[in-house]
Amino acid sequence: MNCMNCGAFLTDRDLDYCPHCGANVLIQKKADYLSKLYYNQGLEKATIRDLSGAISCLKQSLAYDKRNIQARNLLGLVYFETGETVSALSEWVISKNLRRTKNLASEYIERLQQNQNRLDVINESIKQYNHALEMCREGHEDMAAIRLKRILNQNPKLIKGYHLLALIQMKNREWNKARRILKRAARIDKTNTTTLRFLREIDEQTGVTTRMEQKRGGIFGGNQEKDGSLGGEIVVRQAQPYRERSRVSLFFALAAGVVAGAAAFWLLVMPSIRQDIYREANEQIVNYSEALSSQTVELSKAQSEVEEYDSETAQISAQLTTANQSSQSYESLLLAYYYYRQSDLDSAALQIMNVYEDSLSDTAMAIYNVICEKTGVSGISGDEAEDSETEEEDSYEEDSESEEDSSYDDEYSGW
Amino acid sequence: MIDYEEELKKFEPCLDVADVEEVVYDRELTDIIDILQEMLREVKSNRRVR
Repeated sequence: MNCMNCGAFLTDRDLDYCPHCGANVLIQKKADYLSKLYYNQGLEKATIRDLSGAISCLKQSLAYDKRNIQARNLLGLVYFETGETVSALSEWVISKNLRRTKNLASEYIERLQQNQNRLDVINESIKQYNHALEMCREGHEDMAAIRLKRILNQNPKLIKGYHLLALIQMKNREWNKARRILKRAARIDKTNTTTLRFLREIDEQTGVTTRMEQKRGGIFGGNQEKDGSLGGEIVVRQAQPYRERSRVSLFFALAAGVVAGAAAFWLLVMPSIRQDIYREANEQIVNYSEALSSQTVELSKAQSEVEEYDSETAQISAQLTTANQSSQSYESLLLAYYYYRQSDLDSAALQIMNVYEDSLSDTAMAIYNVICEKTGVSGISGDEAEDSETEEEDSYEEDSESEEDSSYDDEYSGW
Repeated sequence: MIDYEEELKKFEPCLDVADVEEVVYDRELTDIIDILQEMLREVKSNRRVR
């Protein structure tokens, strides 16, 4: 503390005068003491959420000593808690200007500035509140009530908003709704005069006394009345007597139990059952696919066997054709040789034309060449045989039969 | 019985965050020490006049 006359620092607290200028500082010391006293009271009230009382005490403290930084910071904090952001900020700004370093107000301001979104929401809710108030004055209470509900969702600390909404609901005779709103306001500030005045009005109108909630955290989050004491008085709490639950509540409890059991069954058992069904279906699909693949393999094997048989049949038929040609050639060569010996060259020529050259042996080939020279006619060469092979295959049997018949006729006629 | 119109008149619009500067400048920051200092100053000046 500095002397208010000369500004010298007062080291000895017991002296009632300034050692530097000799001025009487007793009143100044008293003022300093009272400022601290009111600060302590304000702190106590803030701790039990008596915010209105705290504001009053802290204002008093600052009236005695405007440089009481702790009191000013706490006043800003209490203002902020009641939704009075502008008042809170102004207190903190003044505090920061009075003491630049080691000041909690700097941290508060910095923290608020860092959370720009929160600041925007607060600012928007203040604007909306002002608009709602204007609408109330113009007679649009319904619209104002809707807007106020939205504002209080955004900024649940705005006590003025609760009061205005409660007032609208009281005007509409919605006493219980107003009571609930005011109870919410009372959770923030227990001793707000407007809240208490409105609640008393509701109590008078409804004939029912509002029961305030006992266990509430202070501004610093602590729980009061843990030890059962309130304002220094010891409160003896009687044990609550045991009461049998009514049948209706028992029925509801039973129904809730059944519903919870069904939900547990649905959540815990049903997935495993569903998984079993899926697993069985997957196994069946795998079995079917395996059987299908084995049948496909067997079918392809059978097809390859059929192809083999077809190729063998084709080979055998080709061999048969060759054998037929050979036998026909030898037969025709014999007949040709016979006619050649009989000097019947025409008949020999006719017979030699049916001979396949490729099917003859070397010895038979020599006879064939002799007859060909004599008759001037040749048999069927390899190329011709291939060309006419396809044609002959179809009419082989008929031709051979007809040739045989004609040769036999010739033979018999020759004999 | 609460009169709605009368109660409504008691509600004041909230100040915007942008108005903080104005609020700070308009704030009366006089405390008891300031008043005492003023009184001392007046007493001293009166003595000089005499």
